[in-house]
Amino acid sequence: MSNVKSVINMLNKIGFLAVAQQKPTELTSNAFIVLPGVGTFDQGVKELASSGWGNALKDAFATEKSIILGLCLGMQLLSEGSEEGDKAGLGIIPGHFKKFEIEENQTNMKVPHMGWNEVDFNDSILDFSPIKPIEQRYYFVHSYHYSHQNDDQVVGMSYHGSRFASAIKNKKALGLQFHPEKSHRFGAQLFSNLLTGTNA
Amino acid sequence: MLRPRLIPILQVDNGRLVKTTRFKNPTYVGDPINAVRIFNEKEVDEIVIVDISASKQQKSPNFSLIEDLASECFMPLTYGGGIHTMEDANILFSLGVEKIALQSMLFENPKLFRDLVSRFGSQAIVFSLDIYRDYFGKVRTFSKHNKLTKKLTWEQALELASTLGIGEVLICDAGREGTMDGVDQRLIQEVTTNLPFPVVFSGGVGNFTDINNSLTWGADAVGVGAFCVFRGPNKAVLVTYPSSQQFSQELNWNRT
Repeated sequence: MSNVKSVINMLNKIGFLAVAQQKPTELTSNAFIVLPGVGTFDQGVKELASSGWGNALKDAFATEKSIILGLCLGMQLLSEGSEEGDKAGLGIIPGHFKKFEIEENQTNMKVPHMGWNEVDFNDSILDFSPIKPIEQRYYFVHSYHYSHQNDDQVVGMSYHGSRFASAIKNKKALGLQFHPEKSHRFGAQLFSNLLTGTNA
Repeated sequence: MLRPRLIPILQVDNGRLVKTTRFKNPTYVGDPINAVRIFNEKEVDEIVIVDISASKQQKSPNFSLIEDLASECFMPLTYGGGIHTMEDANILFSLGVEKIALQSMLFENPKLFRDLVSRFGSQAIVFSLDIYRDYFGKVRTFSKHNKLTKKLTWEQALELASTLGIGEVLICDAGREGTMDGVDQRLIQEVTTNLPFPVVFSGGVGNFTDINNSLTWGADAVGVGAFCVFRGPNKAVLVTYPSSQQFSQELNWNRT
C-alpha cells in the first residue's frame, strides 16, 4: 500500500538501505520489517492477506527473528482489530482500536487528530532504541486510537481530548501511531535510533 | 496538540510555481521543487500543492512532477488539481502524497468521492472549498472553472462533504486570496462554526495578526500563499517560513 516510498526515502536519507517488498521472501534474522499504511483497516487486512504478508508477519513475530515496526495503519493492523472495520487484525499486539469521540464540552476537539503532537515515551522504548526520545514532535493523522486495557503494551502516550497510547509493543513488534517518515528530523532521529538499537 | 499548523499553499501552473490574486493573474514565482526544498529545510508543518492548470485544462495530475516534489518532503504533502479517478488517487498515494484535495468531484461525482473515502480513509481525503462575499455581502461558493458549484450553497457543500466522510476542509476566501489584505472576521466565524473535522482557512493572510485572528475566529489551521512567497510592498519573491522562535513570540490566539 501507500507510504512505502516515503519511508524508503527517509531511511535512504539517513543512510540505511531499504527495500520495498510486495511479497515476502526469505527473511534473514535481524531483518527489520516496516509495515507502513495509509488507508482503511479492512482494505489493509485484505492486502496483507492477498500479498501473503499477513502470514509472513505472524511467522516473523513467532520466531522472534525480526523487529516488526508498524506505522499508523500498520500499527493498527498489528492489533486484534479496529472499530473502523469488520475484519480481524494480525493479533501480534493485543488490543483494539476505537474511534476518537468528541465529548459534549469539547467544542474545539476535532476528528481526525491531525497535526504535530508530542509522545511521552516510557522505558519500554529502550527495548528498541538506545535512548529515550525527548523534546520531539511527530505528525499525527488518524481517527482511531489504541484502547489499552493494561500498561504492558504501552510504550508512549499522547494527548488528544484525553490521553491515549501512541506507541505500543509486544515482544519484538513495535507500533507507532504517528508518521516518523513525515516528521522531519524528529522522525529521522527516531528511525536512526530504532535501526541502531537493533543492529540492523 | 501542539501549536496550530501554518500551511503554505503553493500553486503550480504547467510545472511553474505561481501566485494568483483572487485566483486571477498568476505571477511567476519560481521552480516548485526548489520552493518545496526550502520549505522542507525550514521544517514547515505541512504543505499543500494545487495544480491550477490541471483543473483548468481538465488534465490529469502531473505525476512526474508530483513524484519529484514528494521526494523532497519529509513532512505531509496534500495534493489537489485534476484528480478524477480512483487510479489517479492510487498513484498519488503511492508517490508519497499524504492527502488528496478534491473540489469539483464533490459536485460532479459524489459516489466516487465516497468510494475514495472508503478505500483510503477519511484522514486522506480533503475537501477544498472556495467562497467569497458577493456584492450584497452574502457568502457564496466560488468556482473558477466549474459552473456546477453554483448549484450548491457553501452550507450544502460542507454538509455533503461531511456526510461523505472527509477528514479535513480547506476553506479559501477567494475575494482576498493573494492580496494579504487581512482576513474577514464574520466570514471565518460563519463558515467554521460546528465543523467536527479540522478546518484550514486561507485567503488574505498577510501577517501574524491575521494568523492569530483566523485561529481565534474558528480556524484550526491557517493556509498561507503570498505570505510565504513574497516580501515587501513590491512583492519581491522570497520563499520564507517563520522560525520556531517567531512562532513562540508571535503566535497568540484565544478561542472561546
